Amino acid sequence: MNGTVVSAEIDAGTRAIDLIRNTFGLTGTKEACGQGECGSCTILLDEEAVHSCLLLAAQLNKTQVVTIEGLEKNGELDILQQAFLEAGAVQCGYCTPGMIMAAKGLLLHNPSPSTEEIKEAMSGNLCRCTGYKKIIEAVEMAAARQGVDT
Amino acid sequence: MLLSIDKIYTCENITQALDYLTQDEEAMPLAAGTDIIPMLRDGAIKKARLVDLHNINELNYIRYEDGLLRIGAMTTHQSIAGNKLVQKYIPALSYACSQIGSAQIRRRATIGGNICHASPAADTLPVLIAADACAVIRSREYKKTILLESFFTGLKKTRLHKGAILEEITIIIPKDGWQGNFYRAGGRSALTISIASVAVMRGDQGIHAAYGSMSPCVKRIRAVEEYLDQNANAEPGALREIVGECLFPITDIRALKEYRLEVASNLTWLGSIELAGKN
Repeated sequence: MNGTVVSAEIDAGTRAIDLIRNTFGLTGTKEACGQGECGSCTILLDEEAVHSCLLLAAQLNKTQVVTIEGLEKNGELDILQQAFLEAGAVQCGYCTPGMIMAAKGLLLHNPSPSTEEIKEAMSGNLCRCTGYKKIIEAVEMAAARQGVDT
Repeated sequence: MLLSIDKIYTCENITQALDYLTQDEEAMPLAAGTDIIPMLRDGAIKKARLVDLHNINELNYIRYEDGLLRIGAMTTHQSIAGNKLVQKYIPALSYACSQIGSAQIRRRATIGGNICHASPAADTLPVLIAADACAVIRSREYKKTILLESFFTGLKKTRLHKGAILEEITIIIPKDGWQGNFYRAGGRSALTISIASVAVMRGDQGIHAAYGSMSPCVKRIRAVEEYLDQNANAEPGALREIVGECLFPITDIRALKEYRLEVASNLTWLGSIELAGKN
């Protein structure tokens, strides 16, 4: 979990999102619809963006999980977090962790995505305040900066 | 929130999974869980005992040999959508898998889970059934292959008995591959449940057409296929008439039955035009 080996004794009926939020106190991962339709609860499971509300905690056994809290390194925001701030891609902020994790999953596999590829990767994430233009711009900004860094 | 799950068995291979499913009479197979978890959440399933198949590597493959395409039941929609063999031999299946749920769901959800959930709106089913795909079912005692169209016995009901799993899907590939495509209508493109869907495809024996969200089980409609085989320039009105005689969809929260019939016949017409290579 975010680079640390963790273990927990849990009930079989525990969902991944509840393990993350309640057992480990990582409340950056948000629940909204609870049925895989809004993307708010997106995490990285073995470097793939997936819904933590449609996963059982038991299914996380022996996997690598990254949540929004795991992106910051040595007190510095991840390139995507910084881009979301600068592009103004955040309003109420509730969808933001899921948006950023979906974008992170995309950039891990495709460092320079086209606008269409960004839209496709983010199509399972709903935002009810900003519209999606600035969110897409933020991902494009992060991708461009990532290219410069590497 | 705590889901009503009494037990989860984790498995590394098929033998282990079949042992658990045989020894524990209440146990049911779990694929990714993207359908089962919302059902547990809503209380539609209680006190579940689940045998987790998702991590069984020997159920995750796509192979082509001697004209037969074989897909392991735990292969994800994302893997199928991006697979070169599928794109070459049955591109409609690749496209249908690319349209399911959202990117997050396609990374986890599997073809076997989609089939065994047995929803009439499952987006892999029209293509698989139009292509006369077969289901390979395995238990400790037997391994049998049945036509996928006869695997379903009613709304969300299958012939999968206790102690058995769906192991793989097989598709016989015609000499030029399965031509044609999958068409669906829904409220939006991502994260939608199809209002009506159809696969219009051509194999060695002519045109096959199978419909989703139009009847309790996805099925081929022979009258439509005969009409399309005999009429190079299909008429929308004639298709509407045949579809109306063969399919009896329901009116529900997503669409009126009349609308479903209209959409299904128009999508068939579109499919026939694209299959004929005209625009």
